[in-house]
Amino acid sequence: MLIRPVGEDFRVIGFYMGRIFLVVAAASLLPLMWAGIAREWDPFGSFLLMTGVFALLGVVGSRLAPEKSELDWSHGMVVVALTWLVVPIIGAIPLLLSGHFGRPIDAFFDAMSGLTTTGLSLLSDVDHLASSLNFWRHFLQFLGGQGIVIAALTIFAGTGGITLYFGEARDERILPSVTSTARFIWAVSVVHLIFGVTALGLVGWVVLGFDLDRSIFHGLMVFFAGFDTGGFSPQSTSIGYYHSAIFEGVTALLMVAGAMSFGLHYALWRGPRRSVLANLETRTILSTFGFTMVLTLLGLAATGLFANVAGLTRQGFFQVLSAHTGTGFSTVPSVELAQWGGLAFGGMAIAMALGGMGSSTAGGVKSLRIGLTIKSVVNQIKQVLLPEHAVVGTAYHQSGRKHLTPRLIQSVMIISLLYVALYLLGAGIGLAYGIPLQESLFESVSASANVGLSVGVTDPSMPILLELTYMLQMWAGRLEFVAVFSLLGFVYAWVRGK
Amino acid sequence: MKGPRERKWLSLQGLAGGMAMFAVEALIVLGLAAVALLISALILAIL
Repeated sequence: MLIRPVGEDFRVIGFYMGRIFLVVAAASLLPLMWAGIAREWDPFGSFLLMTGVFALLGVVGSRLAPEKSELDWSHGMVVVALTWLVVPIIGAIPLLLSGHFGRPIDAFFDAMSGLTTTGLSLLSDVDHLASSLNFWRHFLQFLGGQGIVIAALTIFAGTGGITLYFGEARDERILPSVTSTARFIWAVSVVHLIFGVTALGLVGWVVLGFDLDRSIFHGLMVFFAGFDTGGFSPQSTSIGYYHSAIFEGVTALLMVAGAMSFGLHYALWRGPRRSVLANLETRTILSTFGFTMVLTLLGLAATGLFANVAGLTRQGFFQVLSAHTGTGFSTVPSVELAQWGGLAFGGMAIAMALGGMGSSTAGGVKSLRIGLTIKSVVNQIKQVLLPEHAVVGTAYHQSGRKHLTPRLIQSVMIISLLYVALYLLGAGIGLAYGIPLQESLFESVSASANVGLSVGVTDPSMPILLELTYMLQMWAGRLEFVAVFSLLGFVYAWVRGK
Repeated sequence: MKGPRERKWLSLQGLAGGMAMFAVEALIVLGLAAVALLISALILAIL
């Protein structure tokens, strides 16, 4: 029998959401200060409004004071799913008031795309957007990539921390406590921030001839969007704007770092570093990267667009890396990307669908699931071929020796199938609107796997139903379904429960 | 109280580890780019 949620359930959920909103309100002070320093008074007003709304919701939620402050699994999942819906709604306020969006829902689309680190955008004239608004778009990607809950957990340690942590699609606790794990994640990010902004800023200043302010601004924006595999860019032509192989190289490093699991970062940080190579996930992502790279380069070479090795390597490598890490940066315009066609298109779509590593900021099915699926299939074949009483090994290496259990295989298969269904959902709706299959599928995979590469389907004139579908895909894809299903179950129990 | 695993990455030795992490990541990118270059050269030579 379904049990209808009672007042206490709502108080627990509201209380935890309130605490998270207070953290987001504090984070919102950064774009507010930026707008003040840059004397951008219209955005300053809209940031003030947004911060006020977050703070108000935070205070109201925190005062709910539930009888038991313990957060159980289902409540935690509902908190995460709802937080990831409400934050982009309120976070869209400054974007909506900027006048750069045709419809209110378009601003929400961009905020959802930012927070989920997707990178698809409906913003018009990004090249003339106020710097504080540009900062907010990119900072949303940083907040979303790190995880809003990670941000909250760093500041307050609660009994429900572990549930919230896993609800945000992280399945690896690196250190004994969730709070110290959250702090380690911030430490890794700060190291990359210092290096990334310095390196990109230097390239901008020395190589590209930007002035110092502009170099730091571009360095910071590209860091936010690169390390958190977001894909927004301060310029409409993305990374192609810089026309610099060195700039692309540093960006590539940030994309790779962003797509690596924080567990792997930890192993690289404190050793033993050789164990990283033994990881099933490392081996899988290196193999799938090689495979999709060969497909894409073959396709590109066949089109005749690139006649020399340097041009073919530079464009193919950057685009495949961007697709596989789920970043969505590009060095070719979407019109040109749409012309790639055939094998190159297939290679890119597969790279996007597979995604980065688990517990990273990347989206997609994730390498660990792909690796486990392949291992499971190989084991099945071995069982058929070997004598009846032969024992097939189930061990694999992933931050230590582990075993492939039927329950693990089941969970891997279910999530992988849900991703395939999500990819097909957007493609089907695109087809219904008369968009060709190849482009519908590409854009749908890009939205669901939180990549952000576009072949031009995502456009301010796109149908609202398709826009809503992409938003649903970004949200469900980022949270890896569990929190989303928990929210649906909670709503169903509220309506039909007794 | 923090355990030894938690303390280690906060120390100076830990910061050196952070730099090592970075160096390995740079090597990974260089390695991947070299593989891409090799594949491109092979493909263009064959086609």
